[in-house]
Amino acid sequence: MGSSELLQQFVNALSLGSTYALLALGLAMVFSVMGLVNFAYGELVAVTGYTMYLLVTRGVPWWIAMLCGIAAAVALSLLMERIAFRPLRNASFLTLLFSSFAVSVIIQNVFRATVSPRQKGVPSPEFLSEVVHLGPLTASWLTVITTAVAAASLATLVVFLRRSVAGVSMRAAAEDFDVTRLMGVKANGVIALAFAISGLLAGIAGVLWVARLGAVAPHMGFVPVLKAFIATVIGGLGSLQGAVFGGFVLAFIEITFHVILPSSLQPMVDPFALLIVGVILYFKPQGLLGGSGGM
Amino acid sequence: MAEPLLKVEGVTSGYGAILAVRDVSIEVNTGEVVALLGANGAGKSTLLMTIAGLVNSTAGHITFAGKKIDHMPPERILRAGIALTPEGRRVFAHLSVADNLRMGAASRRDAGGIAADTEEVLELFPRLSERYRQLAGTLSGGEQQMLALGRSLMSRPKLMLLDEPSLGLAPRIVAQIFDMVQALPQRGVTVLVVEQNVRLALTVASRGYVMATGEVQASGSSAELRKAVDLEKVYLGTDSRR
Amino acid sequence: MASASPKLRSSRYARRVLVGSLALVIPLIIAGVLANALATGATLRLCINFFITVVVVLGLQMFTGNSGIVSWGNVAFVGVGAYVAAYLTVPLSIKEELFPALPSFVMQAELGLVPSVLVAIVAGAIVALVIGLPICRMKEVAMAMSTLGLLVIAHGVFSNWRSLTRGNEGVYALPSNVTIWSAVAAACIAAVAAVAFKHSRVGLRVQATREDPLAALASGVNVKRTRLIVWVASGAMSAGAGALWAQYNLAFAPSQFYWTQVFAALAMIVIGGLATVSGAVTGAAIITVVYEILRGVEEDGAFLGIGVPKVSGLAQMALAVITLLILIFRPEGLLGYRELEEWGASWLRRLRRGRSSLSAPDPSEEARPPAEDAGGQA
Repeated sequence: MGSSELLQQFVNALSLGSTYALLALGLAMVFSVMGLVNFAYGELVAVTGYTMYLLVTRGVPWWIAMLCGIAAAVALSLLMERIAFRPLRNASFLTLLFSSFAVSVIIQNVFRATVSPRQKGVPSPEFLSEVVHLGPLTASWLTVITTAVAAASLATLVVFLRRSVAGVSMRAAAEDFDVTRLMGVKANGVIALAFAISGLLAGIAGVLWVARLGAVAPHMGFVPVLKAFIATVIGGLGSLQGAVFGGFVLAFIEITFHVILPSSLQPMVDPFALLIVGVILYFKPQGLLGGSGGM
Repeated sequence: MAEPLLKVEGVTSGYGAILAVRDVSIEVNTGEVVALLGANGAGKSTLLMTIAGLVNSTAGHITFAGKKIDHMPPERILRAGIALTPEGRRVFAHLSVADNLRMGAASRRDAGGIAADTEEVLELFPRLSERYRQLAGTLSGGEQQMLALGRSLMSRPKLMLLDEPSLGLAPRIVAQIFDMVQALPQRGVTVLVVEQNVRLALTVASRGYVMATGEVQASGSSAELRKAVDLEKVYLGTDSRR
Repeated sequence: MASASPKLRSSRYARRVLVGSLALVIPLIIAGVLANALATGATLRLCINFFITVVVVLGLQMFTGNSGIVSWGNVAFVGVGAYVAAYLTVPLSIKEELFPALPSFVMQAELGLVPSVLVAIVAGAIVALVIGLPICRMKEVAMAMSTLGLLVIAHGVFSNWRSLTRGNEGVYALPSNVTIWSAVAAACIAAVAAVAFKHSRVGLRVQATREDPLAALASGVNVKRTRLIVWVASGAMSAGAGALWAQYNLAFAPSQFYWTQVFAALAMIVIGGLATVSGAVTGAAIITVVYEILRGVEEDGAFLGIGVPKVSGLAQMALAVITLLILIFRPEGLLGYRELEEWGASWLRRLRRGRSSLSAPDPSEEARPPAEDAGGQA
């Protein structure tokens, strides 16, 4: 493979990785304060898509639909925290996981019932599919914007977590929830904030996801949450940096398999990636970066 | 005779079926330094955590400045004016010293006051000033203890609960810390300190309680307690080996 | 237990297994008789599938219930069993078309119900062993997460190894070898096996690891090996269930061994109670009934004669809501930690005590281990 081809794939991996990093971070946000791997996180991505579908098909301008989609993700995230996860605050990891699975099934079926069991197309602005040339590389506007948006979001989040009191409180809560409460920080507030940020990230990722896929379907949330989950495991559950790192590692693994595997085995990229993850888990259960949570 | 600042009456608490604290009653008056003594497992830490709201009490009442605080969540108890410096320091290792202190003031909104108090804490503990931007996990044990105390002070508490401040620290640092503890009432902070080092605790405290197997076995002024022969037995348990 | 003499121990064991088995087998047989006599058409299909589902759920319960580790992978073993059954029972002429990659001795084989199920059980055990060796060495949570990976990987293999599985187009032409009686028999055998396992030494050891892995380790239990044994047994039973299922439903595709089924199986043991065998069976019964009713409502748009808006996915949604409510309000499941026969015994005791005057509470009534929920380790 020529060097420009290699470079092209590298760029692809960066773009894919930044989406995964965004997704993984949203998932890790909630895990770090509550110890919950939220299966229903994928549905936050889906609800963004469905909101956009409902608005765009009714003639609402795309960028307004986008904002509404993100708002919907935040709202749904807060709602699920309040109704389903608050009563389970002290349950075991596996109970929480299974409950989030139940929540995810419920929401998927709400989509099925209120919109349609079938896939629905979501048109996106035309310019996104136009191609842009950067030297030897080609990328669609969508890819460029995806990378830029993801990077900007991550940067903003980092600043927020480092500088603001709320952000510092969240990092403190992720490290030692009880002592954070001893500082007078309200437990419910911190957790709600984590879910809100999680929703925000899912919403942004959701917009990018739907723009790429061009369609929504009731079970569409499954792939994002699986990717997010794999990425956080690779980086180390409980570590926010790990989530971001894991996102990029996963993208690189996938692109590598994508390139290596013959076309007949392309659908096996996911299972192979999972196999790698299994190997990582076996030798380094704390993940590559070793989060404070770990398993 | 003024009302005690903190009144613990007949409190029982523990973890599930294990009752670490049984029918304990103690009082702390404003401006005092009171010591809580006893061997490992006597229930002292659990009592502090119960007062601070981290452990639920199953019986009894806790009154602070006239208000009932039993069953309040820890965040409200902090806002009521009680700050717990937990056993083992428990600083936020992945946060800087600066952020740790900022967390101490998390319940406050007055930026000016917070800045002023930060200055004061740094003056009190110059070592922390040197390491202001460092991650708390890289500090030595003594420095972490100072950070934990400073962090508690940042909330401008009326009552500080100190859980084993001398644990694992070199004697010189311990002396420094206890000098500071002794001076706390002058700053308007009342202190309830749990300590295994009986002699040390009784030099800074005016009064003390002795706990064993979850109950208060003895109480009195420091002078009285120092003289008590039973103290050794209670402190060391029934086993006379050291 | 260690203090009793071997003879006493084994007679106590035999008695527990006997009582536990009867408590399940008798209702199962009665249900079977009723179904055979009264049910026809779709209802009969439902009943027979219920008995097969019992075997699936018991396979899951044997591992997850006893070890406390949620396994998302038991459905993958069901799939393995189904495919193995297809390899062994589909008529030769069609088999060559469907599975060109099969070795000739398999290709030539044409087995009946029982042999095919037995081979499936062995196949399931082997696959479980291979997978179990690495994953049983992990800690609880990591192991649970690996089973999730296992599910996805298995599904990937089923969907893509076309020469062995026909990919997403699925398998058909299986012979209809399963009758209501074979299904009932299978359910009864599975119930006895699960009960026998639960009360056996290995079963007790693995339950010790569920409650407190460190304590178990400290008292000499080889946690990893015990879990491996349970894992293999569970995989074997699930594969057997799959072979049964395939020879009743006659056609399947990889989508039959994925999230929907995983959720249903887990919901069944959660609702009935992870820790008990009767909980699994009860959960399976409840969910089968509820799901059918709801599906009927969904399709007909009516509930007990009252018009209800046709809501797609209503049954699934309702099931998920019920599961969530149970997890919040009664996480140990409906039966909690007691098997049916233990509930029966405690009610009898209470009745007897009610007749005599108020006496001190029975110490054996004291609840089981204080684990706060059936979700196992965190």
